[in-house]
Amino acid sequence: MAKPEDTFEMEAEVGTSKVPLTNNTVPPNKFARKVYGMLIHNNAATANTLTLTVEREATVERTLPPITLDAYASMDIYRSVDSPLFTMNPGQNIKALASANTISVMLQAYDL
Amino acid sequence: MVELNKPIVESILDENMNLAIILPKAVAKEPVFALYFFRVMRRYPLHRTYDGELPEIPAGETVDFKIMGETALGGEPDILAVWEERPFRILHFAFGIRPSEIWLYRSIPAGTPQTGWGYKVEPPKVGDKRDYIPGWLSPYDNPTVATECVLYHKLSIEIGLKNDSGRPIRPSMRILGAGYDTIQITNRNVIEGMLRQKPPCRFLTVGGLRHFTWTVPEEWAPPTEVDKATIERVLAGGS
Repeated sequence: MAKPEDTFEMEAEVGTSKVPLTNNTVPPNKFARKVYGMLIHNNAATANTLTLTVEREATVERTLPPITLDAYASMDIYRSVDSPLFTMNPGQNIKALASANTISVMLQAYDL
Repeated sequence: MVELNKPIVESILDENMNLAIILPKAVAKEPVFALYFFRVMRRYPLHRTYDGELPEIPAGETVDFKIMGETALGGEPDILAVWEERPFRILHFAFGIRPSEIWLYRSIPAGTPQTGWGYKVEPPKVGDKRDYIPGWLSPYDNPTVATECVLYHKLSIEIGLKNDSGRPIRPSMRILGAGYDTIQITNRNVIEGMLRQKPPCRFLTVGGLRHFTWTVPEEWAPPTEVDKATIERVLAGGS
């Protein structure tokens, strides 16, 4: 079971160009990365849609369901560490794209 | 049988308990071991956190073997050195490691081949995928016998670290155990009794049972030499 000191953040300020999050690649020697928390905030004066993609180098392997936020809206989702939101595999990385400028993204994760 | 995840606080000796340090004298066809017997007269808590002294380690990188210096790894004075003025002081402790993805390598004495595996005979190198203790096996909050160490004057330790995660980490470590003031037991009858656990005695290996070069303080009386069968019996807890 992951302990608090084993968890870390992946974050980015996301605009209309796809950007990698910090700490975004699962090392090849890991079994999996479990993402169990998400905090996002729309900095735009209009509704804004966030799309997260799980990629291997530049090849998109998964596109997570898009999330639309109202103007200046925030959303946070925190699950327990043993029932995470989604899983990434070794060698995969995560990137984010917004439909307008900008969305602040912070994911909480741990590696197994 | 002692579980690898047994907390070190359950292995620390009380005052008036006996211990024997086992050192390999010859490991040829007929191995011989040198045993030094001691009684714990005073026990002092040994506790120190070691955190700001450690560097941030980039993802997947290592820090090579170094002494644990007062202010930084590798810098004198060595906080685990036992001064020559205290030839009968014995340190008995374990390392707690945080977070789980930090790997700890120990070299006792420095440069000595110590391995749990059978296919390598050279000393482990920092970064090897063997002979390390991951943080989860000896956690910061509850150091276990997996990182158990016994030190005395003339016996050194160096530690190495690896960050096995995908992110930079500044690790934290915690030394927990006891410093014993001891008297050496030299009475043959008492020693013979201890070899049969009457009175009880905790037998501790230092650098493993494989041959390595070791020295002890000049003040120590000559050891008791025993054969392999005796060592096997006492380490199995037999009488």
